[in-house]
Amino acid sequence: MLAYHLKIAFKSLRRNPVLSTLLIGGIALGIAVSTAFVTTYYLMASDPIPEKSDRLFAVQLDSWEVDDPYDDDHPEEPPLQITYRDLQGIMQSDIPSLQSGMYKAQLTVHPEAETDRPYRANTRLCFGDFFAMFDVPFTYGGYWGQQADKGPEPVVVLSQETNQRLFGGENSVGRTVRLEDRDFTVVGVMDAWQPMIKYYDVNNFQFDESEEIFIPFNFNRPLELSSSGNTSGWKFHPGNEYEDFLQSENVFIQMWVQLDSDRQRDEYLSFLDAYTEGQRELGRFERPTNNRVRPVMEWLEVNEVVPEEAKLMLIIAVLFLLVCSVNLIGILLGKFLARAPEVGVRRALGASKLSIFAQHLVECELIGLLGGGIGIVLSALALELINGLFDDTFSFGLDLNMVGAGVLLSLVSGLIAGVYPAWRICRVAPASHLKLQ
Amino acid sequence: MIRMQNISKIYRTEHIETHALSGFSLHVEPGEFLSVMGPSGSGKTTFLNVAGLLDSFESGTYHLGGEDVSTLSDRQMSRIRNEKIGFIFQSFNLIPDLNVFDNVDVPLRYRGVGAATRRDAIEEALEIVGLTSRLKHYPSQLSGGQQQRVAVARALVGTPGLILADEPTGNLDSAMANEIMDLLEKINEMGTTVIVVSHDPELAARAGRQIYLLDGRLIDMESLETPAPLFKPDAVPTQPPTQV
Amino acid sequence: MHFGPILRALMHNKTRFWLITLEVGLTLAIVVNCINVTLDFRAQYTHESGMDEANLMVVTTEPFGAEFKEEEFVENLEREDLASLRSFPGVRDALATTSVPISGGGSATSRKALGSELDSESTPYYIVSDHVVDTFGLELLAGRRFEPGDFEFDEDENGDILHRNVLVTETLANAYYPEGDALGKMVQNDEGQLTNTIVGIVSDMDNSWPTWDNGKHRVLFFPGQPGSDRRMRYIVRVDEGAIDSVFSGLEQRVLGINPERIVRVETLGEYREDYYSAQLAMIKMLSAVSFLLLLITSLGIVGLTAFSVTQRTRQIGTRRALGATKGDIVRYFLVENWIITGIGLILGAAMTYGLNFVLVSIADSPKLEWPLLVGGMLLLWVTGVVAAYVPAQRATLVSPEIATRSV
Repeated sequence: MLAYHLKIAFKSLRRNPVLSTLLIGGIALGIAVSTAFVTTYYLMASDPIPEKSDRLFAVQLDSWEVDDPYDDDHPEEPPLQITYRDLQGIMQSDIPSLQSGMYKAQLTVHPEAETDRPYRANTRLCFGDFFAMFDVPFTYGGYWGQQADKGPEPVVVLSQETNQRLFGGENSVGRTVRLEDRDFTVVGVMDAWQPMIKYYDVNNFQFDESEEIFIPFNFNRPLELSSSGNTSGWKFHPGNEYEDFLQSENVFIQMWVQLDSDRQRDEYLSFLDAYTEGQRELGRFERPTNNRVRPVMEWLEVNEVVPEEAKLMLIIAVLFLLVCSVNLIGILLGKFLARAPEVGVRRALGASKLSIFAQHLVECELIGLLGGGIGIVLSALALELINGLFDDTFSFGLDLNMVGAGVLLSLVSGLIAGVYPAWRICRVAPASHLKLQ
Repeated sequence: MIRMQNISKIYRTEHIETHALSGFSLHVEPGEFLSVMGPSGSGKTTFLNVAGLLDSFESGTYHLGGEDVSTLSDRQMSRIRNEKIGFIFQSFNLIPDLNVFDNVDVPLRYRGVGAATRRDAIEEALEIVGLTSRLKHYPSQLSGGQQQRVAVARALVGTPGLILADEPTGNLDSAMANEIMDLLEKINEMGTTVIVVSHDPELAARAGRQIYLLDGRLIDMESLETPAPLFKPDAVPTQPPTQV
Repeated sequence: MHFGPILRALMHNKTRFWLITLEVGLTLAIVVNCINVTLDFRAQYTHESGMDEANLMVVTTEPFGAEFKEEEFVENLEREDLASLRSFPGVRDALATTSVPISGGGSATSRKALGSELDSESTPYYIVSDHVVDTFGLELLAGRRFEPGDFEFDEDENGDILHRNVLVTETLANAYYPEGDALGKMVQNDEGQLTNTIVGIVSDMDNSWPTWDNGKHRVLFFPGQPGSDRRMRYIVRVDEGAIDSVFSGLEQRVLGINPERIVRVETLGEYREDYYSAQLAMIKMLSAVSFLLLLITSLGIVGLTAFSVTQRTRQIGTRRALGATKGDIVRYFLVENWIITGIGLILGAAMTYGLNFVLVSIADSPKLEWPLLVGGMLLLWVTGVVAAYVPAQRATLVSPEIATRSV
């Protein structure tokens, strides 16, 4: 029966090409716009590391001023980053399966070729655990070990692009890169790794690209690297030297740990509380104990990484599809009711109401699917346009889920638009249009 | 075949009630060829719609082929229309988008018959009406008479026990009208019950039995001997009916 | 032409009526809200920065030479750079600064009136060489410009400068001293060991974050030595219209003084484009969506009016036969359309406010002002009339003879 309904539906669409184009084009536009903006929202709001997002935790310690909370609007919230002193303190723990403090800095890269000018590269200072924690993929080599962290040994992990730029994409493991005034040995080259949300460091701009170069954290001291991300402080610290900055209450380090069980999590929290208790005796941490470990998704929520603009566009896009559907209802109603005589004949010849209803719904779904197909292609184009509008900050693209969502949306809008007209036409009294056409 | 007892049918709009059938009773035996006559508005079409399960009725009972149809669901009624009844209309009512083959195919499609069986049945039906050479033609490419023959084939194709024809010759010239009546006679001879509604007394006379409707009632034979004053002149049968 | 009969005829076909009404209403709600947000973004983007923005350029240099580690070297080079930039043909003035307004990158500290018990005020600041007023193109409202003496500081035993003279914008001055008597007064940090004397008040200008409402027009200028071994950065003001001619020469000019650095020359306009890229993108996206929506709705009105015409072919013929002119017929359909869109727009006005309420609470959109709503209603009404005109015109082609024809 479905095959027969489809056949009738195709005949019906062919009968009035202008109207059919309007119908299909209308739904295609609706699907294109809604799928494009649903995709942008989904890509921003979805879990960046679903396999282990519930085991990765951002660490927060409330080291802020006693009577002036870090965030006046949310006084219960501790600072989003930690101080260098506290990093030194809590990295002593052996409870987390993996742990790394980290921050972003700018380093001058001196390419080997004399002809290439030196350039500044976004660099992440981190511990070797960083790569294991965030499942960073490698093309060549791998990441450095704890020995290199301690040294610190001059080792470096390059992003795919940096390896392309410096070594033409060859396996550069073992070769040296001159950063600032010293040579670093390449131990690993990453595969393409560009999470939509830079979830491990959402300061400054949550859609920033990941860094080009990664070196052991402890080079911060010899290279005297200040953060090129956010630095916030509340207490004046005397002295202008780098060491003075490190000993101040400035927070600029993102701290992440991997805790694989609830027990581990509880233990680590107790460790943090004990640590801050100890610091309190030294005159720090005057605020009530307020240490947090937050899993990835909660962290992203606290940091409000999904921009309000994305929510706005999502609402607009859904309403847009609704208008397209209402529009479709109107035109379908006209189209179907104009066909009442034919429906009368079919009813007389033995078509049940249900069969007529099904026939027309199939036609709506066919329109929905045809429009949806075109719409999904259009939405891929629209996403390219959106990427262009934001100077390629984003690389929005359709994935299988979104194509599926697009198909589902088109089926749903076909259904929404079709139910009423199909119901109206199936209720046409069979006898009423038989006498005169 | 048809056993109607005291059927009443009222059409309601917002302001008016029209009694299209009132206290209407009729028995039709299997294999009969019956013609229904009466002036416009007398309820002929309503009778046909009720008989063909295209319309409901307010009161009375209706048994079709021994089955009480007043309590059937839409689905069951559709099934009966599909399997037991064939319809022929004054304006042919072919579906303009479908070619001859597909038009005849429609009732079989709603029966869920396999493709090969359908093809055989369609060809056989078109053979009977003599249109096997026009399978791929669309209704608009056919003459009125040909269109009506396609409609007859469509009514026949499901081998129904009952054929209901509403003014089947109303839009045709007399030669073609006779052709169609010949066809209906032929079908009747094959054992199918045929009920024809017609204005045309000459054609109606070809039926085995004629009945007359006026204001939704069956006019009884005796009173027809002396036409009632109610009759409008143009609707008065020219010949007294005879019952066979 | 009387409304009554048309309205009654309309109500006879309720579904079609409500569908168009709903579509028009929804479209109004979406389009007006889109325009509302778009206007807000546009206002942000085009808002005056208070600087001579059209003639400002930014020269960023990132040193990599070893000698930059020497503070004195940087100091001397900065002086040399500035002198050279200021003497470049077409350049009016230049200064060195730590960061750039409208760039999204900068620093802020806390200051309050000396001795005040109140919470301190967030204070975005730039450490700058002199020539502040003339380079940014500001107006000196009170007090004086920086003088050489302002760049000579007393350092304590840790090398910290505990007191400096500063320039502040009018808005910031009034934040510290709401009476408007900030000139010559002092401000302090929370702990009180850092103090500043306000020696001049300048006209308002944007800081690094113009969209940060609470910090709007707050700028404090510290006299000092902005350059470091990581970065030396200059703002250059050129003569009216000279930006293109100056632009190409600056990189070589700076590299000619010292090549051991990466040099980037940009206009402040480029910073603005960059800073507002999200707003610009939103403007384009929302405009596109509004346009498509209007298109769909007008096609919908075309379709439904056409349908209504076809459905009433016979009736039109009858009217024609009874003496209606072609103009009467067109008017009939147009008035019908006016009634439908009119009711749709009234319904839509309520929906527009409803959607605005949702957007304000969920997406922090601006509140809707009624003139915009009225404008949107007019726009949609005109769209509706235009869309209905074509099929209405077609209705006049129906000949009166059709009334008497039996199909």
